Amino acid sequence: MNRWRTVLGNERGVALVLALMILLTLTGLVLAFLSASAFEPQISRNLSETARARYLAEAGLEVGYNALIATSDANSSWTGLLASATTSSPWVILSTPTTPGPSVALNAVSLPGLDSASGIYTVSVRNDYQASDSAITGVALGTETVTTDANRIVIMRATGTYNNATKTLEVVVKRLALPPTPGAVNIPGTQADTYVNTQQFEIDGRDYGCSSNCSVDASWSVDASNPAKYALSTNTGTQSNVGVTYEARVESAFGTSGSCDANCSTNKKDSVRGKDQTNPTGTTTGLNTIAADSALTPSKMATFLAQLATYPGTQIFQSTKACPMKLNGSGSQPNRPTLVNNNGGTGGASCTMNQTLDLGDRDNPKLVYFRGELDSSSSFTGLQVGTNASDPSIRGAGILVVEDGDFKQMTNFKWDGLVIVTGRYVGAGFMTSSTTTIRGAFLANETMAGEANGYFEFYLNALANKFTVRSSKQNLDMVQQMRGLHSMSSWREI
Amino acid sequence: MKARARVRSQHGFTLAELLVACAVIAFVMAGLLTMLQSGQQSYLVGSRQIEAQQNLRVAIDRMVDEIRNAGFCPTCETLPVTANCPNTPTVGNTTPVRGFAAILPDNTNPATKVTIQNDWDGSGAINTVSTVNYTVVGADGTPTTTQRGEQITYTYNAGTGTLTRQEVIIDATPVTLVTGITSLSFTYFDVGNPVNPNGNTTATSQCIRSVGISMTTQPSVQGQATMQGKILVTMGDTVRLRNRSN
Repeated sequence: MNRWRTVLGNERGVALVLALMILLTLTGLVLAFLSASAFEPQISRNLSETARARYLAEAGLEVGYNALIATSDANSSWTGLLASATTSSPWVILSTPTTPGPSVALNAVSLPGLDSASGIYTVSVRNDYQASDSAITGVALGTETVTTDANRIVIMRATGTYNNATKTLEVVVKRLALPPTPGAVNIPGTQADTYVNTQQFEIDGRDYGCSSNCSVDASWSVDASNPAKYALSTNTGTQSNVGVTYEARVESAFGTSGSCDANCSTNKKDSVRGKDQTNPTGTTTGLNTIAADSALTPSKMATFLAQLATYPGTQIFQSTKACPMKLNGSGSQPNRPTLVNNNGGTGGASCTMNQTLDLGDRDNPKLVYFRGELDSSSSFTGLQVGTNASDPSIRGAGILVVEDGDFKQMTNFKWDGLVIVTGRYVGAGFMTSSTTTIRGAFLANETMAGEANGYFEFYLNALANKFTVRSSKQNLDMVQQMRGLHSMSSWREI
Repeated sequence: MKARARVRSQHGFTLAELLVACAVIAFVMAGLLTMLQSGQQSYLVGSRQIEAQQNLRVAIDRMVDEIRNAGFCPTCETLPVTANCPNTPTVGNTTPVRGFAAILPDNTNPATKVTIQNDWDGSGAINTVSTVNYTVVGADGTPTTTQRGEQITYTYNAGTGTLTRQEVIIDATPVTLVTGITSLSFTYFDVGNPVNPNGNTTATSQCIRSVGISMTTQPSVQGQATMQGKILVTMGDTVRLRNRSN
């Protein structure tokens, strides 16, 4: 009894009990609060990890796109990539190109300069062979199979992974194939009026290549391993308004006429060289390398140009009769001339365009597209290059298109790739004191039948300094692998 | 001996002692209560902040994901040109845009209502009367098809503070995504400059390349109207339309 009283009456130690109780309560509160706040960083971590995974996937798409652009087979398709695909495993891991190399399989790779702790991505492609694929490619199912890419369209998928987050993106990649060019100079349209009033020119269908220092003309030499093309090729058939074949129409420019005597005619014929139409494995000079060829038809040109004009990323410069466009050389940078649109149009002071235009170089070829407007009098110049021989020279690489307007070359002009003059009432004129070098192919494509005589599709002025077109598979391949001929569309997150 | 005497003592506490003890205990308890109350208040503020932030994240994330994908148009290359849009500012030229608009801001309330359009079935037009097939081909080549609507409309109702999402045909009525929104506005940009689609025709919509979202929410139970207790969270994001980047 006394002992109990002693215990009950003793208040020593109560402070500890009270302190413990209070501590417990406070700890409980703090813990509850902490757990709620720990939830918040987790949510934001998830969010940031998902964003990083998506960025990795987007990086993968870009790397994959570059790999696809650099990969091509003889048909400009991606069939070569798809060899290992099967219907139960249609996706093929992409690899980076061997040049500059080394080739790396894009399977769980990390970003350049980072390790896998910063996330990884995987890129694969498959052909658009499934019935449902037209809904994402926009193209009806053709002869595609899981391993055969006939339409130059593939579906690419990139998956980015960062910690626990994964994102997969899918795009459709398309390639626009260049039209075949049977000649160094091609006049495939509905008219082939040709005027050659100089002996200072060289049109060579033999294949030219270059291994190094390609900006220097002397580095280019005949590569006999690639077949030669005609010097000039035309549409097959007869030009309706004159009743002679297109081929004869071109050949007539190499005969004697006016002040051009037999000697002059021989010189002109000797200036064209290429595949011999009577002996297709050999080469020749003269009229036998001016031939009609069905490989390039007006409809093929029309299809290509329509696709080119509507291609995502193709930027078209509009030249008008009011404000016709002209390139002025800039001196220090021949491939960055100034584009103006005050070249004698009716627009006067309202034509204020004055900008530097990048015409590209062999490392970074460009698609430069000028569109004019219909001029049934055939006198509208859609694009003029320079003013005279004393202008700074202009050069570029890629594809130069002048549509619905004349192309008038008046200065020192050099182009690696394709130069295309196309449309209604058009012509390409190489004028007084101009010096022109085109390595690749030149196309003058009139689409309007019955344009009046005297308006030439291909015109070499008597006083042109030098006009040179050399066929070059190397440059045409370079153009085929331009970014501008590829597109990435139908982006979706899956 | 002394202790025994104290234990044996039958005297209780005096009133004064009791009052002093009560006062001391009351003082301690009052301090404790204040601590607890402010702790509770902080906790509530924190949890409401989290709730508001979380609401915002869900809503913005959802919208941004769908806006990023807007304008899915497999056949756009072949569709007629519907607008000529500004190009990069230095070029001073225009880019033709084909087909439908990826983003359709509401003509009268462009800042609070936006419609996202995707041509999932590649038909070249936006189907607003039925759902369409949406197919994803798996790693084993097996296609999986689900039904999707080609228009998704986000609407902010300032009166009720709600953000709703309606996928055409899939959702019979707008589905509330989040509540407690005090302000929401969409802004639109072409290649570099703001576009004001207010009252404009769809031609302006065609040129939209990015969309900005700015949104403020409050928790479902707002704290005291004091500066410390009131929670308002604002977040913003700008997203570039991946299918309209040219």
